[in-house]
Amino acid sequence: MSANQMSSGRLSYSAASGASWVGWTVLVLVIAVAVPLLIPGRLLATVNQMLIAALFALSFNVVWQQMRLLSFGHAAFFGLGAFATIHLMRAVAAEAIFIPAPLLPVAGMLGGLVAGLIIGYFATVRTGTYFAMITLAFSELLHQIAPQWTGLFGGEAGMSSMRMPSLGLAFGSVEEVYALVVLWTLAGGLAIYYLGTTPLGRLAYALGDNEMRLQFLGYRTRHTKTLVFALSAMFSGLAGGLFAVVNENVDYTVFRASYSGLVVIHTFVGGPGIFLGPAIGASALTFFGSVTSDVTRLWPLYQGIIFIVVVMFVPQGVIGFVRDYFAQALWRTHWRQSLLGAVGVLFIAAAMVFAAELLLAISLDPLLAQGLGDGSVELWHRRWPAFGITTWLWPAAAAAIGGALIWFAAKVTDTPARRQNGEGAL
Amino acid sequence: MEPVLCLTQVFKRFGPIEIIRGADLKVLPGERHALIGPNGAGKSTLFNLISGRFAPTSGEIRLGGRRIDRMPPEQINRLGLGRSFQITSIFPRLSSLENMRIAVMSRHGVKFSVRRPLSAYSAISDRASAILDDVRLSDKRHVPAGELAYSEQRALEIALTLATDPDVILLDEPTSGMSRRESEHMVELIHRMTDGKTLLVVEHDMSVVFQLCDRISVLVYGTVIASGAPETIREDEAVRTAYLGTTESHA
Ligand SMILES: Nc1ncnc2c1ncn2[C@@H]1O[C@H](COP(=O)(O)OP(=O)(O)OP(=O)(O)O)[C@@H](O)[C@H]1O
Ligand SMILES: [Mg+2]
Repeated sequence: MSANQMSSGRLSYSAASGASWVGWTVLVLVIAVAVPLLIPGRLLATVNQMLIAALFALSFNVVWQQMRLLSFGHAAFFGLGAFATIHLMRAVAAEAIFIPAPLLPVAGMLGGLVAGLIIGYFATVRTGTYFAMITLAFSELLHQIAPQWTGLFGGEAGMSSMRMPSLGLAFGSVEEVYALVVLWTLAGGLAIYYLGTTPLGRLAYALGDNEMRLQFLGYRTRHTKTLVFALSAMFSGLAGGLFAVVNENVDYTVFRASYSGLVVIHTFVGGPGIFLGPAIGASALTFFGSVTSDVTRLWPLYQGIIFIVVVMFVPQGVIGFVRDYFAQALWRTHWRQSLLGAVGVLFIAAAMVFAAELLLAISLDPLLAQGLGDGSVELWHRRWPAFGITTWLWPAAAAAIGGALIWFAAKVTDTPARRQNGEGAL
Repeated sequence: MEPVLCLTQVFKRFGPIEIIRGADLKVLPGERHALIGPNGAGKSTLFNLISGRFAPTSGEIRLGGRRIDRMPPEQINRLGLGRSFQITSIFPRLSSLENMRIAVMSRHGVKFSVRRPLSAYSAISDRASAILDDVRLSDKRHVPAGELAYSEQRALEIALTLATDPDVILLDEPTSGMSRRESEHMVELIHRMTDGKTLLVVEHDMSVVFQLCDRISVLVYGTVIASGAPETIREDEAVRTAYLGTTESHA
């Protein structure tokens, strides 16, 4: 059943009438324009990162959702796109050529596409784990080479450049950069969606379902795989290009394996079976990562825990879960259980955060380590007896209450057989 | 007459076990040819060899005079050979109609196109719908293939095979799992769709075989022990002992 849930990425393109298209377009544009007016500039920089992460996740998911191939090396395309763009920016800054600033990310697309064709050609020799290994190997290769190759990748320090004014815009303010990023992200997202409807895209879905059958229908499936992989890489390169334009600096760490892993986490937390799932997952996690950076250094830990919990208990992803929940109108029949369960989850999350932060504070406290001081530790502007029963009673109690709530909610819920709902990608 | 499909001394070994042992088979152009034999005789394996899923250990397979025994399946398909699978092999996430579009478009030269949505190619959609009509799946055109009933999936399986417009059609137990009525309709459809083409069909239901086919070959333990007109096969002593007697008694 859960395997079916994960594969619920079937798209039917029949519904969208002209009116609803216009409605959606207007809504999206209104939001895009409203965002910089409503939120402060510091947050707008975060929005830029969220949009880039969203586009990156969407591009990654082309390979997974359509062809059921798991790439563990998509940072390679993001990174090459970023470097291609930064080189173009340097050329523009040196007045070697003139390219209007809004078109700079095109270099990223080209870089991603070319790299995708080459790496895709080799990776598609294999499927499954071996495919993932080959993609990982290529990106690790770049990660190793880049810091040595100063001319191309700028060594350890990376490459820097500046956005040059063009078309009457200075591209100095975060609002102007936001405009560029949001337009490219929307265009890229639409193009990826559209790709899924074309003969090539539909072929990629069929390939993900049953590659062998395609061969007996006359298809050389490796061509399809290479081509779709390269297009996915192209959009990753676009995301990388936007990254370069925003940061005006790129270094070899964009090739790190953990960055390839991050896009996998973003995608699966959001839900790879729904078109917007990866984008929402990426935006949300990037947002939380950014806003919590002042308060905790443990965000990667929490993100990892979220990933594990989602993959274990809601394999269709958070957005997939929400869709199923509303498609089955579970809120109508099960709102009490849902509420109990949600509160239970919050309790457990609170317990875990408290315990983790406390442990970190203990491990970092200079006095405790030497057995000095009064044996207390500071957390959230309060001092807690580090090994006192009363301190640890809090998370223990919260976890127990949370567990009990979830247990109770699950007990009184006779989960209706998860109906396979036939519609809807968006 | 030159056979359109010709197997000479074909062997296939899986590890230590020889499944196909010197099979000879000639299928003539335009005929409807049944391949029968007991369970495990190697009928599906023979189909896999002909269609390029496996390469034979030794021996020769010719399609229209050309050696095909080392070709990949897509190339054999493009030479005009289409096959269905005994174990249903469809695209579960795609709707029935999209399953058909995928099969049909392989002959329309738009495979890798990104110029328009697939649904906007009306020639492909028309042909896809027409075949769906033929197999009585029009009502289910928008249902994901993975959610169709078993017999509907079987019908889609056959429809996929016919959609690439092959000249030589291999069907592996096309009526298995179908009700009497569905099966009758399927036989009628196969008869109609294979008009002017060549059919090689594996079928356990002898009434279907006698109704549909001009010639029969009998495969036992990886060897074709008899080939001929239905009446001849019915009378053949070796076939009776090896196969027919047993099937008819519990059919
Ligand atoms: N890929 C394979 N590897 C190993 N053994 C195989 C393979 N494919 C088939 N066999 C074996 O070959 C034998 C013949 O199988 P095959 O499916 O060709 O029989 P069949 O005549 O189609 O039988 P049925 O009427 O049950 O469909 C069986 O014993 C099967 O286990
Ligand atoms: Mg068989």
